[in-house]
Amino acid sequence: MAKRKSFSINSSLSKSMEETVQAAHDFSGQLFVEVIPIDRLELDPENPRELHLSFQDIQQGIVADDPFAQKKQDELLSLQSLSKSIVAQGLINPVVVYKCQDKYRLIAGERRTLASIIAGKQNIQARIFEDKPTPLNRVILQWMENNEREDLTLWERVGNIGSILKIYSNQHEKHAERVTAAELSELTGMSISQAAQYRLVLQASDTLLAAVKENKVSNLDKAAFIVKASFQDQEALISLCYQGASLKELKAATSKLFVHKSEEVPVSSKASVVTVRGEKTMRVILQALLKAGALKETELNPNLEGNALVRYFQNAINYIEKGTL
Amino acid sequence: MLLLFITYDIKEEHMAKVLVCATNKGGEGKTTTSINLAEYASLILKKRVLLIDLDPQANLSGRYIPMDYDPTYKSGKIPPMHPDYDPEQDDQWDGRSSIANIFYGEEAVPYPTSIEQLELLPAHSQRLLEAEAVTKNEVLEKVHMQLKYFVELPDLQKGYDLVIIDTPPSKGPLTIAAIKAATHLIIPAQMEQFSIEGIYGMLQLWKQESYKRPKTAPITLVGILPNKYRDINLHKEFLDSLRQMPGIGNYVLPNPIKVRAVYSEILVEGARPKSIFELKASHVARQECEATCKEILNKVLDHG
Repeated sequence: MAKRKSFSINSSLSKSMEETVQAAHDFSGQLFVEVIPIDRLELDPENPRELHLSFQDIQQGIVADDPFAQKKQDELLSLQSLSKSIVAQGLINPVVVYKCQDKYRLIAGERRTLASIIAGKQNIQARIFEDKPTPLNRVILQWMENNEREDLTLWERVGNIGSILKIYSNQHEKHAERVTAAELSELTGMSISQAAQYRLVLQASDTLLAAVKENKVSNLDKAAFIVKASFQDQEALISLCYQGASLKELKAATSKLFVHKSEEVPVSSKASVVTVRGEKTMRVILQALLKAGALKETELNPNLEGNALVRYFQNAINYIEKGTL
Repeated sequence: MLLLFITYDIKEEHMAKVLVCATNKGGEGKTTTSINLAEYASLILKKRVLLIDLDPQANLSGRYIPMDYDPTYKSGKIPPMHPDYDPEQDDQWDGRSSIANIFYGEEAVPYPTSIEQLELLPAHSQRLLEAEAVTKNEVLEKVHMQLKYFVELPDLQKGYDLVIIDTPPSKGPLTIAAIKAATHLIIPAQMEQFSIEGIYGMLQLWKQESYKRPKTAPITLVGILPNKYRDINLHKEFLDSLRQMPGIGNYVLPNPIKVRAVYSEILVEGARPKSIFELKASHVARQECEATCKEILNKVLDHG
């Protein structure tokens, strides 16, 4: 007798459909764009600023004895092209704000707001959140906003990701380095491989980070590639990168640079410890640390188990690394 | 002309509802569903209905008015001369009117149909195809928003209780324009693989639009209508799978529309009866169709 045929919607499609409906419910109205008067906008005091220029500086002029006068003049100049594009085409990406009594506080779009004021605009297009977003949501929104910008440097992008990791890891009581690429990918919407690259760059040597900050290394792929090289080779690779070498050329150069790799083992200030899986192992390590006086306490609470033990273990490692819990 | 740009406040409770029947997969029964919903609302509920045909194939238009064949594009159809057209007075108008006019900054004048409460804005194949083919960003944005502006015109809002829009089988500019104009969305689908993928495509559009709507004017997903249903394992099991999906199950309408010859027969020119709702009240197709239309229109007309 023939077997009865059986049919079902494949799990990938059904999962995607469920996620789509859930997302529609969760984020309904969140990209709604409204036009609001600029004079009802204010900066979020909790949101660190990178610009010195204020709304008043543009509206009333930069005061000559302002200690940041020169810096503000430079910033004003740098906003001219954005301002011209707003005059010509309008604002392409609306700013993001949340309601705060009768004002709107900026979550993202400080440069766009300043450029709109320069362009003589009274109103601005804004995506409005009814409530103040959580710190994690705010940095993720800023990342999503910034990610659209072409003029954002790798240093600024890495800084954004660093902020996300910091807040997320605090919320989840784990070290930022322990946040996986998959978690970062889920938070930001970037691919896992891109998330892995950002994680690598965040753990780069001071030399490489300085080069990223100075825009000598401005490409994520190249920075993530250089991180993996030995410390001696990193300087040479940074130099090549600054001279405009492509990723392919960097890779080709690496084979020549690495000739002395076997002669000298690079010194690293970081070590990846294998994942500690059993409670027994954690207890042994903790007791050894307590005995050596590396932790504040002198004895391990015998009642600690399960998640509480894992948290204690993580905190102990943090304490040794940073001196704080 | 019927539609004038007069501005005055319309109280929210008098806002016409805009129901869009859409899926990017062809052959799912968008046009037949639009027809049945429009005829139920006008014949049975006695609502004032405007049917809009956004599909360049113009099949829906041809059901209500005798479309002319476009002399310049052989496969295309154009609306006939409007019964209110008077060449002596209307020197700015060629006498034909279609929904495509709004994409060209022109007025659109609905046609009466044989059903008193039902009016039609027909398709114009070539002009709709041109609008669908738009790719330049600034023009695209205009196409996307034009239908929304049109259905929000005070005279249109005042003249109708319900606007039903039939869409082409695509996720192109015309379907997006319809979604932007919609207050409610219905997705007809067969219980088959490609059709389920079509549902996913529409859910994506609905999600994107939901993100952008103010909370006071949402686009409500009325439901997924299991259409052309047959009592075979494939259809039964796909329908069961859909109903059991968390978050999706609630959106699957309870009464599938089955494959029946009568649904095709009433579409034939000169058929008697002309509408499912002119069949005997005890006819299985009428009962099935009424149950579904009632379910959908209760949600559309009574909800908010």
